[in-house]
Amino acid sequence: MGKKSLSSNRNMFPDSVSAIYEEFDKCGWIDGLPIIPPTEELVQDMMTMTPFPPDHIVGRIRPTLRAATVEKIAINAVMAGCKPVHLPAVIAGVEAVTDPAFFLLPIGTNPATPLVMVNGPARSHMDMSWTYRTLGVGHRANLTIGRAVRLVIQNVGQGGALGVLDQTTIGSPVKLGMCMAENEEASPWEPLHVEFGWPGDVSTVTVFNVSGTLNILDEEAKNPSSLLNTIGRSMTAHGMNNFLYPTMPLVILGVEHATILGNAGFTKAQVKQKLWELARIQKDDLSSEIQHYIEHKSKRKNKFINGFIHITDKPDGLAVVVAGGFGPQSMFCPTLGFDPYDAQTRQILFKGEAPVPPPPRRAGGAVHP
Amino acid sequence: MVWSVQTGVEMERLGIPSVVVVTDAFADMGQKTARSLGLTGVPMVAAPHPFDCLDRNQVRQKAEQLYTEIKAILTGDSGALESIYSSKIWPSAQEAVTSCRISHHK
Repeated sequence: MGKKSLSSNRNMFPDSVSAIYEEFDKCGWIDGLPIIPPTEELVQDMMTMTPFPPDHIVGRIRPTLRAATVEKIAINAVMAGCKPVHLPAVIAGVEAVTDPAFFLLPIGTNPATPLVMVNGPARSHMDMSWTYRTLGVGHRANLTIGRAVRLVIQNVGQGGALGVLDQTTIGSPVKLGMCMAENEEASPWEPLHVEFGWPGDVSTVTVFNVSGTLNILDEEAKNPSSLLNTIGRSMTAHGMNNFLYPTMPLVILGVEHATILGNAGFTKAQVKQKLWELARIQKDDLSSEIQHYIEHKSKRKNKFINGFIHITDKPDGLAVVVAGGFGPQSMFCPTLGFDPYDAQTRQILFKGEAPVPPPPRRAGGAVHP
Repeated sequence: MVWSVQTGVEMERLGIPSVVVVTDAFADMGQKTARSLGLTGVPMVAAPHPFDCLDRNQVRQKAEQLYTEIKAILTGDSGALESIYSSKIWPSAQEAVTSCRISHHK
């Protein structure tokens, strides 16, 4: 089958990567970092591993609700530095963030950005790292998939003009985009996508609206109670969105920490229960204005319980994954949402694969009826 | 702000007279958001930033400052209004912050 023609506008630029970088910067089409010029040839090559045609609409990006077609996603994936094998994950990520139940805030003062969590065989197929540096630097797949999703949101949803339509008050490195993979092999428990109802041998992305990361160091804990005390109390910072709004924050347990808990016989549900019990703020420690907001304006269902506000309405409102290499570190990622919303999961579909029926929508991990 | 602009644009397209109220810190961005939605001239008024944490009296004061312009928008000619507000030049976000146009309320 021949290549399908592309519908995007063609622009002529000087035949120089640096000159194109300058021109794209002036147009507001980049995130500040250099890009790979999206030539026709590269964009066509980028789409060789997806089963979808270039004009297939994956989703519509807020606030303009412009269509994110496979072609547009491929253009931004080239710019981000993706390989063709990464495009199916970028497509799945865009599909997930355009679900109405995902609070996508492309324009706002908060730096919240989708974190793309990858599960299943595609992790190795795309040459991702799910051990060391899975959320850091050094792995092309991890970095470029997350960046590509961000560029699609910016260039399709906002129509470019990043500097104008993005007024994140201070900003954050997370805004460059985030993608990581779960260390399913080292986890004592079922992977995230299995927990959410997907078959284990299916590859998925799950997106969380992450506003920052907090590294949690504990190299002293000799028992699960001590460890959970450190991790749970790390999740009690005032000013976190999660205490005000019903959202699903993300806990990334490092392999060593997960092993301590797994060896002691903790199930994932028990880990969530204990973390939830610890991740709370005493009402009287909150400012009077915040107390007022929680009591009268917040959409949290379970507000103050015995004089405390917990990080989520219920323990199952936490997402817990295992990732990374060896080292006494875990990580907490607070998330952003103003209405009851949930993380969203989509299948990563490569050419030649069959789509599987998605599991029923969860009741909403963040908010319970 | 973005959702207010989006709602204002949709209302105008439905033929319902509308005015978008923003703070001056976000007026430029609001106008560009409206442009990206295809309606640059959506009528927009700006109060001194911020809106957060105002008490009832402070809200009333800001509303009174904007009342005359809002009334003119809701009773004015849509074509003329679009022309006025599409060509209006708002201070950029950078200017709004660095020139201390943000009012500090007590």
